[in-house]
Amino acid sequence: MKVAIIGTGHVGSTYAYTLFLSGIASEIALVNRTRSKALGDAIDLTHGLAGFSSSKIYSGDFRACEGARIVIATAGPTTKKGQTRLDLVRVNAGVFKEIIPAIVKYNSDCILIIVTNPVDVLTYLSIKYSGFPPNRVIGSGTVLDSMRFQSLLSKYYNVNPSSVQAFIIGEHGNSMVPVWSLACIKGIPLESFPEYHEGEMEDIFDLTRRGAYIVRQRKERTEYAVALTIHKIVEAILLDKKEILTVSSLITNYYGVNDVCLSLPTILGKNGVERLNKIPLSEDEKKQLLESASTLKEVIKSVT
Amino acid sequence: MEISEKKVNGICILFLSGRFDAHSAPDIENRITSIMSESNRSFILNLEGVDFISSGGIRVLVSLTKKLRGLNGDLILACVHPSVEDVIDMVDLRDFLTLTETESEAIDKFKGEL
Repeated sequence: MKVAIIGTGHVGSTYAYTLFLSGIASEIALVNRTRSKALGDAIDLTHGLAGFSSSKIYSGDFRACEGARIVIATAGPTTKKGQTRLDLVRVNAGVFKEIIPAIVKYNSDCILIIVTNPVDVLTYLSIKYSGFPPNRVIGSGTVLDSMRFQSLLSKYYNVNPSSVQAFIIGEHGNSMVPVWSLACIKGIPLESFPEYHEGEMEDIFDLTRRGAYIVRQRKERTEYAVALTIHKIVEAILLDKKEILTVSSLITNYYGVNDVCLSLPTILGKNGVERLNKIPLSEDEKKQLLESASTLKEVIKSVT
Repeated sequence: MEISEKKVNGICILFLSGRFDAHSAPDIENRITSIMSESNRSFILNLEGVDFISSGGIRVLVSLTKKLRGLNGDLILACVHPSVEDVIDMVDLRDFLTLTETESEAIDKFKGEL
């Protein structure tokens, strides 16, 4: 199956490499504003074909999106130091107003995965700009935040990361919400482990929320974990895994949240968003989710 | 967390082994505070046996360092595992805390100050 990546900056090209290594895509198309960068990446990856993959890799303009099952949008500038994701909104809303119709012109059947920040707002706008049904427009949302949260909890509890179930929901940004009421290790509540300590848990969430900032203080940009996050989403769709991931999608009638894109545990499969179950949340978590939704709605209002 | 103690040239050296988190940190804090005095204000924590430190552990290191420096003493962390050093760097405490590669280097550092 074919996957197209729009934007071959650090995130896009790192994801191209991740996808190449996985071997799950038969074709990988790279599209970038500066075509020569996409071509360079395509040639570079092609040189490794003999060792790893039989994928067909090429660069192109938006025509290269034709026939892709998934198109991943990573284009647009990233947050600079001291800037919130929401500060970026005007610039990237403009970028998306151009690129989404350009993708749709050549491919109106694909599933769009939005990665560029502020991802929730751009996912919402991409639904409008594409005219796609909401199940086919998915934001990477808080999948990365949930992965960070689970990784940090697994380190703290000294257990295998895959044994930790813990979600971050809401905005991929400052108003994200940790769902402590459902956090567990293989079904065992965190509180029943001797290591449990409320202060430590709060610090782990703080490190999760500041995850991107902590990385960017040291190396300017995040790229590896976000690429792995994209791959989790792509795999769930291409392999019809029916996996639950906290992607961002259009929310309707969810504890009072309506007409906004934000992240909730979502079942992903070949149709994109397959199902979104209402999970039991504590009163405080519901309140935080509503606050997160209202933060995002205000931003959406400012650009629509 | 296991704690053993020795004294070399008037310097208290504590060897820690196990997890350094909010559960074990009070033991370490109490142990040092109980022996901290005008004549006991130079401490070395040998962290060779510590391969995990949490924010709760870091907090106690900062608090003890401040207390000891207030008495014109100090706390030096010796033999710190690279993964623990990463945590210290992540919370930007490299310049505040004193780290040495070996215990003898830490002893020399105190000697130089005496």
